[in-house]
Amino acid sequence: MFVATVFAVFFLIALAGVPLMYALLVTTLGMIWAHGLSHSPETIFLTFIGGVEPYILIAVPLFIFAGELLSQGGVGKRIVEFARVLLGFLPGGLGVVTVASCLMFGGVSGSAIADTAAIGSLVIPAMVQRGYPRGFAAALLAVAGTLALLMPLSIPFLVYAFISGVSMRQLSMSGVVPAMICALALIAVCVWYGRKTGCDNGDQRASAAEIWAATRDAGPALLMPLIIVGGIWSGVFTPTESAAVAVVYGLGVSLFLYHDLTWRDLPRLLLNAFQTSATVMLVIGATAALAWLLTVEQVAVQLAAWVQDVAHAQWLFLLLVNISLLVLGIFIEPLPALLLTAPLFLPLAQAFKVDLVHLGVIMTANLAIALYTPPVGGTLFVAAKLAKAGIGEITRALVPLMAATVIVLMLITYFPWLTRILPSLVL
Amino acid sequence: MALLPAGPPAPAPIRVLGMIVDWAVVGIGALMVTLVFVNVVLHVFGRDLAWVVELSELLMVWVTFLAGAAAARRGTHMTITEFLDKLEGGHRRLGDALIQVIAMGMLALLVYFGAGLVNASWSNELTVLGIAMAWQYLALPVGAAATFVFVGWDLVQILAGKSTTERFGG
Repeated sequence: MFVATVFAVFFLIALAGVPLMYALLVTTLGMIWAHGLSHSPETIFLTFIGGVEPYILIAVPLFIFAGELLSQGGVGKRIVEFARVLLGFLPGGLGVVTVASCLMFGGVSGSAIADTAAIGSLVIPAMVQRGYPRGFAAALLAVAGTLALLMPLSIPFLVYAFISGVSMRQLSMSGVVPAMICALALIAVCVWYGRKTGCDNGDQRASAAEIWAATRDAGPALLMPLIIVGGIWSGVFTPTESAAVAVVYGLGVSLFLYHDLTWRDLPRLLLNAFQTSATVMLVIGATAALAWLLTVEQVAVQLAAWVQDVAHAQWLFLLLVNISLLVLGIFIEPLPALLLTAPLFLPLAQAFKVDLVHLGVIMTANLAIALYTPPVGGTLFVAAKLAKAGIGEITRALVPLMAATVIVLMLITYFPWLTRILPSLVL
Repeated sequence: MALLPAGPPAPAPIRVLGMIVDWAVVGIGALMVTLVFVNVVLHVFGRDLAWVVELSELLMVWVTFLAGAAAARRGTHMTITEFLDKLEGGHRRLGDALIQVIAMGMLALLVYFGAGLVNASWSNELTVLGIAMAWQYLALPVGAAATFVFVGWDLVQILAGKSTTERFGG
């Protein structure tokens, strides 16, 4: 009853348009007052501050800053050119290039919105010119942009690692194979679509000289995820320190190599990055306060007992996780949804003997889908704006792409070795 | 060209406060990047600055609450607006005003209880830096007070009949 009231009150306030940070704090203090609990507001606000200070979370603003540096530092166009010379000859070639570019850029930025905006602004005009319907171009970008969330620098991974206590090293490696499977599934849809509609039969194969030139140009940008992952993997630096390395590397590439940014751009990018990060961190802090209340009131234990009554087996629990996150994701952006649900799912997952790293990948993959599930979603809106397409036509074009990603989600959910294979090989 | 994006139109004192907050965020952010990176370099040479972790955590609290104020000034806090956006005219204004009143109520509590936490922690020290924990907790009432000013000004704008686009731009 307590947990039902908490969620009813929170959703009522949040859906009314109150910023999530205030909605969480009002819910927490309101529940204490309404139930006559003896917890002091000072305890709640101390937990709130405590929620934003952990050293590992310093990586959040730094990764966002590194992503901003590279997004605005001319990396996108070089990655698209690199993907074009390698894969542009396939049927549906421009679609294939789009997916491959999003995968590579996602490895650099870790942000789905940045991925969709940076690659979309480059490929959507070319796709429309080649004869792709605007709806399909937007739908493909909205979906492919979310591949970033499963790549090593993913912000949701970092937040989940903090909440769950799992190793960021392991988690960051666990998403790579699922991201690649998802990219392959999307590429298959693009090839099928290119053949079926005849709008894109592919370019001429690029010459070796063209491939070399594009590789040389995109190389420094593509090296970044390798340096970061390699550094974490080899233990040279922690995930937090890797974020600082990413920033310095991004500065070097954008300022001195590509010359697409100047020193005068840095204050603006720093402010943007820390502002974006603060909106996330304050929700993390407020969630920590609510999670503290739920913990001391034994809510997670009661909920675990209830779910175990409803879901008798692990597969049923995982199905419930998927369905609830897909539904929740229609209304709430990935990070808040992750912050709100992870503290509840974690004890349940332990009760059902689900590996917590595996759960992190499942939750992130689910919330990635939420970013383009109509009628609202971050990448959906960005892609629609870039392609000047209506939500209706995008929704129709989304059907085969979304079917592919949901199939991949089910594969990730019920074949956990897909998430374990890379960590077991390299860690 | 200005180095930082301009905030929404506001009287001079609020604009100045906004600029101070913005530049504080930029300065602290740059310092954090530098500190963490220097520690990585020292790490490579087998050395470590223990105080970097504690100072970074202190700065993280400050930059989060100050950048939270900067985000409030530009209306970019995480919010679900799908239902609110369906309201028009007077209903929308009433909805916006109520939300800002709720936010201001919570911010007043944060300032009040935050000040209490600061007063109570002057004698507790951070382990490595050896300075009072109050310096860390001070970020809460300071950040909340700055946010209160920005949210309060936005409430005035709402009551004057300005739409979201007029207040924060497209």
